[in-house]
Amino acid sequence: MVTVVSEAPTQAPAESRKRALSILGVLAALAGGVVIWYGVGLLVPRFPLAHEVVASGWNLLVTPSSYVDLLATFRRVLIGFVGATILGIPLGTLMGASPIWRGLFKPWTIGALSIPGPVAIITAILILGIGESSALVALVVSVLPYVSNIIMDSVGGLDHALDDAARVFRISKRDKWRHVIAPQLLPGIFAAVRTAFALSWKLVVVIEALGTSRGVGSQMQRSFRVLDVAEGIAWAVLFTLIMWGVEVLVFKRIESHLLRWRPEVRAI
Amino acid sequence: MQTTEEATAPPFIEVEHLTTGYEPGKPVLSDVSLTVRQGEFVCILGPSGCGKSTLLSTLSGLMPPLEGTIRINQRDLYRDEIKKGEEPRLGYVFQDHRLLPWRTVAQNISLVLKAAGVPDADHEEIIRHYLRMLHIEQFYDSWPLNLSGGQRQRVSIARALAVDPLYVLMDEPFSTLDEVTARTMRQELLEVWSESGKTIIFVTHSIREAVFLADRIFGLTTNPGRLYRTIDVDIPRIRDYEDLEIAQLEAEIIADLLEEWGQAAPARDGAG
Repeated sequence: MVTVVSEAPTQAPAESRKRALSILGVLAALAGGVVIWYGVGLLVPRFPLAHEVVASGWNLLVTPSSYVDLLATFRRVLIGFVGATILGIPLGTLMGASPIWRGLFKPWTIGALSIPGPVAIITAILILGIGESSALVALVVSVLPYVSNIIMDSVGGLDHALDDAARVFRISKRDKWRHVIAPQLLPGIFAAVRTAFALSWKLVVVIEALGTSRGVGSQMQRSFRVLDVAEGIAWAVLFTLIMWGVEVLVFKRIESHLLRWRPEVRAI
Repeated sequence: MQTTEEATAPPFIEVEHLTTGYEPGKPVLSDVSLTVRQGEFVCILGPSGCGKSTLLSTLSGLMPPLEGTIRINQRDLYRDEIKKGEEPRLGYVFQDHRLLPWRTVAQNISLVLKAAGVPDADHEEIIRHYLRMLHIEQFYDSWPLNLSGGQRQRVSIARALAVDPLYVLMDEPFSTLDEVTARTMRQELLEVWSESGKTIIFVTHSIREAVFLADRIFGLTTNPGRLYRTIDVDIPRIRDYEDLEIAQLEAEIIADLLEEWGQAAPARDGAG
């Protein structure tokens, strides 16, 4: 039996229980992952084992130049995802609100969605040459259509019933925008931003491997080229952990705050 | 509230020969005339699709009639020059609560108070007063989706009353609630009405609910949409939902309706 909590929410117990369970889940997955890793290591020759990767990772952390690469990559992720968001939100809003714009731009967004990351960066390099701008252009072009699609769908889903309520109580246009419309768009905008960030950091590594001189992706590629597989994996793991950190510490926190009005449904 | 002055009180809301609908030439209601006195509780009773909600929309000042006049306190709601900010304040309770889920109860009511021109400093006191009246003061800072259906409708009613409206329109506000909650709500609504003295126009498709609540009932029917009967409910307050008199009046109205529907049947497309 499921019931809706009928008091002002007591969030502490439910929240901390959820968090404890998810931490347990992560730990279990990590433990399982390590076991599988060593299992594979026993079967495949020259396969880098966990402790080798950890050693490489530690090595990277104590080398100052690693941070130059990490920062370079992070900067690209930031510019890429912010660029895709700043361009994608107005585009998505236009496409969501007007069938004409939707018809005009849909072929372009569908096309951009079908371009694989490597193709995007190679094309950009051909046109713009090797360098920062081609990497950023490739990144923005790849991520933008995801953003605009999410926004487009969210604009189309506005609740007209609330508009009626606003009319009947003579709510001003400004207040209506601020209290009725914008909050409906916010989850969509936030989903788009989160998706853009997640996509950007996964894509940037590929783009860097093909087209830049510094950065996590290019370092990974260099490691694999000199057959230091452990170091290559260490780069990947390090970068992934940092990006997860950002997602959990920044995005999840903001999302919880923005969506704190959602009902708590507890099973009895 | 029934007083001896009621019979001679001037009409507060006057609807004259109202024809209304979404398209000219396709009226939902034709030639409806009725009056409501100040402080009355009237019900608009009719099957689905008979234009009850359209009538409410027109009474709310947001849907100009195709033909006819609506006067509030002798002022034409649509044709008289009404300065911005002097539009008649009205309260509206919808069938679904229509509270902003991302704002607390207090913030929801504060928003409409602001639209009604009430200074911010006065908001808290007013909000607490009406929440207390509806027995939900403890939910001042609650999120609407954490409340039950009945509690949300109470908030919705508190919101409608908080703006100190000229009159309150209610569109089947209890029809989505379970019967037990609905019974409680009807009782409390009458108490609130008695305490506030507001003029209430309540739309419903439940005959018993109408008889229990109203001073007078306006019966609408479809094909064509019109007012076919005005019923005075002379049963003294305080009423009991299981009252024999209520059951009797309900039976009379049903018999009347069946006769009416018998005449309208051939053109009917299954509405109601």
